[in-house]
Amino acid sequence: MTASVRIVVLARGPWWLRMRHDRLATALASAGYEISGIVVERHPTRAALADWTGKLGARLVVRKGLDRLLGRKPGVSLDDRPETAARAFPVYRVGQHNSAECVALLRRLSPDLVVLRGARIIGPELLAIPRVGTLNAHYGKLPEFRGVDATEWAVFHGEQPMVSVHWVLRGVDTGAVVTSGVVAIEPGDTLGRLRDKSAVLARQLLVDSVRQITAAGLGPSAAPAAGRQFYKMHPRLRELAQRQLPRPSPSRA
Amino acid sequence: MSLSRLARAAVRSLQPSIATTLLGDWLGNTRDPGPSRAHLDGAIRWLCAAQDQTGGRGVSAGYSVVDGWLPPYPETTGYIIPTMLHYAALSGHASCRERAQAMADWELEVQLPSGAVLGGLLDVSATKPAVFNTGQVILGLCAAEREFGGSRYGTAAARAGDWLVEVQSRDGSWSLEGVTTETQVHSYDVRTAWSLLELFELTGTAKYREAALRNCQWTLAQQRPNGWFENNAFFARSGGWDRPFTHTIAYVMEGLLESWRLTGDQALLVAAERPATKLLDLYERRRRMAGQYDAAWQGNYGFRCLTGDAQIAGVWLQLYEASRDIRYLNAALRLNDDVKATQRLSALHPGVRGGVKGSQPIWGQYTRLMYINWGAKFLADSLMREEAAMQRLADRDAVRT
Repeated sequence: MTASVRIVVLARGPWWLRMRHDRLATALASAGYEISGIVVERHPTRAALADWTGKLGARLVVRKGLDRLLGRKPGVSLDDRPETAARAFPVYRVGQHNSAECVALLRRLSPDLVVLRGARIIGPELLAIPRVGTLNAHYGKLPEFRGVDATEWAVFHGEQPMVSVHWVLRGVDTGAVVTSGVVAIEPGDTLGRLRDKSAVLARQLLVDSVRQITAAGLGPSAAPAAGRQFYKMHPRLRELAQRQLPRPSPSRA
Repeated sequence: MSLSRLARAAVRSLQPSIATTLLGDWLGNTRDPGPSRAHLDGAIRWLCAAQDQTGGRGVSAGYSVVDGWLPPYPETTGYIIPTMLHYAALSGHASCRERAQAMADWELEVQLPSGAVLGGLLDVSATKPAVFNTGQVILGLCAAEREFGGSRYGTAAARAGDWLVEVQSRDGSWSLEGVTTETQVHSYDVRTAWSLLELFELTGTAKYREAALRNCQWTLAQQRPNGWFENNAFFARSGGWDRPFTHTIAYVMEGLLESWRLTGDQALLVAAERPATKLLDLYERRRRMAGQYDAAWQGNYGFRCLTGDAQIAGVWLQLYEASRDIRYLNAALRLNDDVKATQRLSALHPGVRGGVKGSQPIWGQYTRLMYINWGAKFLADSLMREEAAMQRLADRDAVRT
């Protein structure tokens, strides 16, 4: 039953980032789904590095880079399933996901489901291709925190950061939520670390969502129109949000 | 342009500060914005330099790459007065308070016998009174009266207000042939309505309030369902000139918001919010502001009208104060950064150092090749609002932790 569900993952990354062993694709494949391919939109190296350091912080980016280079398992301690390192997936690189080239590629791959992994806004032509629909993991509670930097906005407003897996419709973050989960805040967490934890939780929730969808035969639907659309957070507000997080407990000498 | 002006412009363009500006704009260079306080101080220092150029009284309209320092501008000197007073209170610089008084005294001298204020700059070309300009000077005179007392500023403001009431049309608009504009009626005159409300607050004379409310109603009737205001451009001619700059779009929102503050009429707040949220959405999606917008909110992104940018940031900050919707503050911080990034704080030339250009690039459609005093004024206003909002947030944060 599950093996007949074909999934395409849409990702974004610089040319040098190897995606063949992508952890989300691996987790979905481990759950018994067929990964038809990972379609990666080109992200210029400078912009990608600026994006990552802006979201995660320079220290975390360097640490994750070293983990990758040395083949170490990432330091996040959530229940992340072990990778099956041997599995490699076909990777297709495109200029833009909404390009004619990518639309043609996706038509050829003919997926049942498309799963977004850090992609930008997807156009209607692409959304019409998968037989069942397109899923995205949004790092925030929906519909309350639609848009960009939802983790940061939640913390800024003194609320618990969350991850919501939802159907992708034409409006930004307007599809119904399939599953959601809370990201636990621990003393010493930074906004970057919360995002990193969110990425791990998103992986788990996406696999759970695909499982639910295939078991119950669910399809895309719209969420009730509510909440607010947030945009990129200004560094000065980000600084204030960071200060809302609990400080690390003082260590005993 | 005559040959002699062209020659003067060519010589000025060779000055290192001007040449660097022209080259930087041509290459599309911007600097990383520094702390807002440094940019605020820079804008105020530029305004002081502009005042010194005209003998320390009225403020020069600006520094032009073609013509050098320009004559003083009664309209904008009027609304720079409250900015200088606000800055003096914030920074403790008593000299800024004295400068504001010198500006107010100058306004008394150049006021026309009718009570009106001249349109345009104070040079040989200024001969006709102008409604909008009169309103903006009233704002300065009311602020001066509150600060310095003595009734002479209040009396002059009342004379100006009497003239405005006298020449108002029955429908609430003002329809006088413009000095520097082609169009006759203007939605942005609601900023003049605001000045009459300030005058009512100062004097208690009902006719000022009545005239202001008539204009507010006329302005509301100019709004389309998409938030757009009719009759809001300086010119009627085609080729893009019939589209309002963000400067006048912001003028309408400022007038409505201040009128709402003084009357409590929610319809004015709602009318201001509609274009403000539309512009916020456009700005956040495009990550830049256009210099002009048409009735369908299609922007001309070929240049930015920097004073309009600073004003819109100020409007968003006012709406943040009114609604506590953090998205307004977030967008205002970014838009102020965009303007700050065009300001050169360490340029050698006093006409450039700390100044705000009319357009980015400097040869854009709005006040081409000029640093303008109202650009510096509106940036200073917006940065002072920004600092107050950020301070309140930091205080809230301190209470929480």
